[in-house]
Amino acid sequence: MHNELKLFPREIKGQMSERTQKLLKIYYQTLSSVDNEFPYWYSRKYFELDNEVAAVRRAQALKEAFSHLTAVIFPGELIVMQKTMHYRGSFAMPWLSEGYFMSKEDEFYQASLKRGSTSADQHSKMGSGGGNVTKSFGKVVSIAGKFGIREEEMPALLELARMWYGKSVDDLGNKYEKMVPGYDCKEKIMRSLVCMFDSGYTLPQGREVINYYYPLQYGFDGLIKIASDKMSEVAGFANGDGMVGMNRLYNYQAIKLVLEGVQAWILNYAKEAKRLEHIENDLDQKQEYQEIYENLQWIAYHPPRSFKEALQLCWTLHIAVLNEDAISGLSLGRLGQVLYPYYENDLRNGKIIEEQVIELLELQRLKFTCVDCFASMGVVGGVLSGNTFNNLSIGGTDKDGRDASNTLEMLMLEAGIRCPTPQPTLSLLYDDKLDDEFLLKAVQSVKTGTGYPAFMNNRVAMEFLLEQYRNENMNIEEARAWSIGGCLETSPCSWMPLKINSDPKTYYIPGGSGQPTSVGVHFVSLPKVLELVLFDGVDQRTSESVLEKHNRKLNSYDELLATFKDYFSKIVELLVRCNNIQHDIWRKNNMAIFNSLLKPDCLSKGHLINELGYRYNATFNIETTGTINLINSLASLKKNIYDEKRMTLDELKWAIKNNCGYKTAESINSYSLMDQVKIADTEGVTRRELEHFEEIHSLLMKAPKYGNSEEYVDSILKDWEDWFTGMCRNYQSLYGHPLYACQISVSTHGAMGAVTSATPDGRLAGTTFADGSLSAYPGTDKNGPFALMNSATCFDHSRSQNTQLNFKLHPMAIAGNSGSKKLLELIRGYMRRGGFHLQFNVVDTNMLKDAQKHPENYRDLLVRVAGFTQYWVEIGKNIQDEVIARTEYGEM
Amino acid sequence: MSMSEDLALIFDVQGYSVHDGPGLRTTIFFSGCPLSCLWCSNPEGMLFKKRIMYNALHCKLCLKCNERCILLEKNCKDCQLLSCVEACPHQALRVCGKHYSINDLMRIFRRDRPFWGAEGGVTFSGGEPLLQEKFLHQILTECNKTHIHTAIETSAYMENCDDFLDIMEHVDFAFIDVKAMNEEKHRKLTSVSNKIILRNIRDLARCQKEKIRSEKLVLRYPVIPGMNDDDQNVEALIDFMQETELKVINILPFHSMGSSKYDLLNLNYEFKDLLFPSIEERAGQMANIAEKFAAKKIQCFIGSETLF
Repeated sequence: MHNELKLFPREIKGQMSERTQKLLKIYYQTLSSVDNEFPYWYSRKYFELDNEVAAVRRAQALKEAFSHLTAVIFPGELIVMQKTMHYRGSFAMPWLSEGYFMSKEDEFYQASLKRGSTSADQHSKMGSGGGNVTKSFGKVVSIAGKFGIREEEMPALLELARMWYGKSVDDLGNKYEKMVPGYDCKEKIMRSLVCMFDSGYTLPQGREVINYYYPLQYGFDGLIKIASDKMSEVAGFANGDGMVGMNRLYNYQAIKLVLEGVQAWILNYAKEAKRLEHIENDLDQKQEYQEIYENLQWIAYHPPRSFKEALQLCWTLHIAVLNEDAISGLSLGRLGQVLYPYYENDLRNGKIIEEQVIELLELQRLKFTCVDCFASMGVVGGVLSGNTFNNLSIGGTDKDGRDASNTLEMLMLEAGIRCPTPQPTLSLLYDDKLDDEFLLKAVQSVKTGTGYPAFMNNRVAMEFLLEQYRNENMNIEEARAWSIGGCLETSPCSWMPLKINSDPKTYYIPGGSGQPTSVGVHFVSLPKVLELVLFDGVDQRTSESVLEKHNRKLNSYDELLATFKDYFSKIVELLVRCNNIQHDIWRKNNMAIFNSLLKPDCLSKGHLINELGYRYNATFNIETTGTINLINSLASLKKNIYDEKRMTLDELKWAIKNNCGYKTAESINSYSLMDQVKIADTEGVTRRELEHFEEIHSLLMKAPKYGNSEEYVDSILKDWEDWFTGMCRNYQSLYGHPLYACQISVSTHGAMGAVTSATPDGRLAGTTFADGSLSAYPGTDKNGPFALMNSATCFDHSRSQNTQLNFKLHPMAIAGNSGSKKLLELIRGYMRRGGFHLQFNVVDTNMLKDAQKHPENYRDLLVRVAGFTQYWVEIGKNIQDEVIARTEYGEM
Repeated sequence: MSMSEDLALIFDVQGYSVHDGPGLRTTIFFSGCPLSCLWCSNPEGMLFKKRIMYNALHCKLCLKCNERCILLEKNCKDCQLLSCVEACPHQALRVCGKHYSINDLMRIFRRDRPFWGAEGGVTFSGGEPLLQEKFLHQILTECNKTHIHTAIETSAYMENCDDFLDIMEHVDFAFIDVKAMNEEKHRKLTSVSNKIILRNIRDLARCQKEKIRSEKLVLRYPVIPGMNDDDQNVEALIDFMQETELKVINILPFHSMGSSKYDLLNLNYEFKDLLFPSIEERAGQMANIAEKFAAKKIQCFIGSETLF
C-alpha cells in the first residue's frame, strides 16, 4: 500500500514573461537594504532652516532629499525608479522616531524600552528567511531585526539619530502625552502589551487610498502653475478664517517646493537612462533605455499620453508618497479603473496589445513587491510580517451604481496569476451586480494559492461609510467610489473627472480623498484585558499592576462583563488621549505635503492634511485583537463558573497561573495549541495537582465555542459587537470626529498571544490567538463552513470598518471548474448574509509543515496571513504555526 | 405544520459538501447499514447505534473512563450509556451518533440554506438512509414543502419495492451504488445479495423513463482492486445499464482514507496489509474502465469529476 506523504499541489499555475522572471530572480537574491541618502539630505536642510514656517521647512527638506537621491536603473526594467538606490531599499526617518534602531546599550533605546515603545519588538517574531537580514554578517549590520546596512554607514545613521533626539515626533509627543492624567498607567499598558504600538510616530500615514488624479490630469508643470497662481490669489487674505486662513500662502509654497523636488528626482532617473543608453552595446536594451528616457522626460513635466506613461507616473507618485513618511498600506485604489481610459485609447489606436499590458502589469507587481518600509521590528515583524500592504482594489460599482469591473482588471488578475508575488495584493469589492466571468476569474486566482483577491462586501462598506462620514456630507455617489486601504480598511474615496489626449469623453475615476485609517488606538488585546479583569489589574507575566484594582468579587457573569467593559473603556480613553497628542505633534511638524496635494480638496482649499484639507477626516479608529478568544473565554466563564458552577473562579485562576499544567510555549518553540506539552509530575507539581489541572482544562476546552452556530456563544459575540462598536463613537480624534471600530488582527495575534497567560477558553499561555476577528480558534469549528459563516454573521458588520474571516481550503475541495463555481457560491452566500470579508488559503497543510522543515525548498511559497499575502519564509514562527493550525476544509 | 417527534440516529452532519450532488450541499449521514462492505469508508455508520471512537494519541491512560464505567467492561461494544466518554478529560473518546428530530434538521437546513447557491441543497447519505425509512420519508416531505433540493446516496437495498419508489418520489437526485453484478461476489463483498438492489434500480429506471420523479439517477461503481475490477463485472454492468437505459455512471477509485477510523473504532481493516497498485497505475485502470463505458455511449465520470 502506498502510504507515502503526498503533497497536493495547487491547481492553477501561471507563467510569467522571461523578463519578469529575470527580475524576480534578482528580487529573490536581494536583501532588505537601508542607506542614509534621504535622511542625510533631509536632516541637513531641515536644521539649516531654523525658525522657518513649519510646512515650508519640511517641504524644503523633502525637496532637498528627493533631488539628491541616486538614480539606479536595472537592465530589463520597463517600469523604473524605486524608493532608494537599492533594489529593495528603504531608510530610517529619525524625525519620526529614533530610539528603536539604536544599539541595545544606547541610552535612547533604554529610554524607549522604559516607556514601552519597544516592548512589541521583544515579543514579535521576524521570519528568518527570504530577504530579511535578521543577523549581522560580514560588513552588513542588521538593524531593527530585518534590515541590512553597510557597516561604514552605521556611524552616520547614529549621528542622524542623535540629531533628532528630543525633537522627533516620538520624543516630542512623549513629552506632552506625559501631561495626560494617568500617563504612568499608559506606559504600563504599552509595556505589558495590552496595547501594541503607539500610533502617532510608528506609521502615522497609510491604510488609505492614494489619489493619482491631479498629476494625471495636469502634469507636474500644470500643478506647479496652479500652486503659483493660487499663491498670488491668497497672499495676505484670511478669507474669513482667522485661525488658519493665512496659512494658505505658505501651504501653496510648500506644495510647489515638493513638486519641484519630485520633478528633479524623476529627471535624475531620465538622466541616468540617457547615460546607460550611451554606454549600452545591446541594441534592444539601448532602445529600451532610450524609451525610458523619453517617458520620464515627458512625465516629469506633462500629463501622460499613453498607458505605459500613465503606469510609470502612478508608480512614481506612489513611491514619492512612501518616501515622504513612514507608511504601510498605501493602497493603489482601483487602479484598473483609473488607467482604463489610457488602456482603451492605446488599444483602439493599435499602440499596445494585451500581452504587452500583462507584462507591464507583471513588472509593476515586482516593483511593489520590492517596497519595504523601515520601521521597528515590532511594527515590521509583529504587525506587517514584512509586507507593506500596497493593496489594489478591483470591481465595485461605478458612479451610477453599475458594475465597475473592466477588461483591464481582468488583465490585472491574469498578471497576478502569472506573476504570484505578495504585492500588490488584490481586493475584490464584491457586489451582486458583478459579472460572473470576472468573479470566476478571481476564483481562479484564489486557486493559485496566493490568497488574492480577498472578497470585500461593497454594500456593507457603503453602509459603513454613509454612517461614519455623514457629518462630512458623504453621499451615495461618493460612497460608491470607496476602495480598500491597507489590508482591509474601508476607505473613503471620490470620483474625479479625467480627460485624456484628444478623447472628448470625461472619465470619472475613483481615488482616495480621506485621511489615513488604522490610526488612533492601535491593537488592544482583548484576552489580555480579560487577564487583568480576572487578576484585579495585575499582568500575570510581569506581575506588574497595570490597572488600578477593581476590588470586585466577580460574583456574577454580569458583574464580570461590566468590569471588563470598565477596564476596556479606561484603557481606551487613556490611549485615545495620548495618541491624539502624538498625532497632533506629527501634524505640526511632520505633516504630509506631497500626499496632501494629491488628495481632494487640498489643492483647491489651500490646506494640507493638518488643517483638514482632505474631504474626509473622520478616519481614526480603535483596533482590537483576539476577539474570538475573548468571546470563547466569556462563554466558558459563563458556563463553567456561573451557569453550571463546575468550578470556582479561584480554581480557574489557580489553573491559569499554572498554565493548566503545561510547559510554556516558548520553551518548546511552538505557538500552536496542538503542540503544547504537559509538565511531568517530577517537575515540582504533584500528581494530584496535575489531575486537577487536567480536569479544569478539559472543562474549559469543552465549553461552547464560536463558529458552530451555537446561540450560547453567538449571542455573547453579538452583545459584545453591539457594545464595542457603539462605545467607539463616544471618543473623538484630534480632528474632532467620532472614532469607529476596526477589527483586524494583521499579525498582532502572534505577539500579543505570546505575552498572554492561559485564557478561560482553554487556550494555553503564550500561544497565538485566533486570527482576524471572525476566524474560529483553530480546531474548534466542528460543524463545517456553513455553521462558521452563520456564526460570523450574527451581528451587523457595517457598524465596524471591517471584519475578517480566513478560510483554509484543501486544493482538492475546489478542484475543477465545478469547484470554482461552488467556491463562488460560498462567497456569494456569505456576502448576502452581510459578511464583510472573506479570504482563502488554498494549500495542503502537509505542504506547510514540510516548508517549515525545509524552507530552502519553498522560497516562492506564498500564503495568506491576515489581510495580506506573504512569502512563507518571511513570516515569523508564531504566525506560521497559526496558519498550519487553522482548520482545513478538505474534500468532504 | 405538524411534525412528528420521531428521532433519527445520525452520525455526522457536514456542511460544504461539494461532491455529493449539484451545488453546495449539507450532507446528513444516517447510522446503520444493511450491507457491510469490506472497504466501507464510514465504518462508524455501519451499525444502527452510537459508536465510541477511541483516539490512542490523545489518551493519557488516566483511566477516568474506567472509574465511571457502569458495565465494568462487560458488553462494552453494545453499551449505549457512554458515561466513559463524558468522563474523558482529553477528548480521546468521542461518540459518533446523535439523535435528531425533524425540527433539528430543518433548523440546520435553514441555517445552511443561504450558502448552498441556486442549485445546492441536502444530501442524505450514511450508512444507509433507507434504513430509517419513516424518518427519511418525513424529512424528504418537509424538504419538498420548503423547496429544498434533495439528493440521496444509497445502496437501494430495501425489501419492499413500492416503499422504495415511494421514497424516491420525493428525491430530486440519486446516486446508487452497484458494487458487484455477480450475486455470489456481491454477497462475499457486502454480505448481502444484490437481487433486491438490481430489482429496485430496474423499477426506478422504469419510473424515470415514465418521468415520475428522480429524473436524475446516477449509478456509482466503487472500483476495488482485485475485488470487483475484473472485465467480467464491468461488462455485466454495461449490459445492465443498457438494459435499463441508464446513461450516466460515476466510477470511484479506491481510497483508504477511512482506514484510520477502523483503528479508532477498534475494528480490523481488511485492506490494511494488502498491496495495491500505485496511484498512477490506478489512474490508468480508471481511464481504461471509463473508455469501456464511453464506447457504449454511457457517460462516465471518474472520482470527484462529477457532472456538476
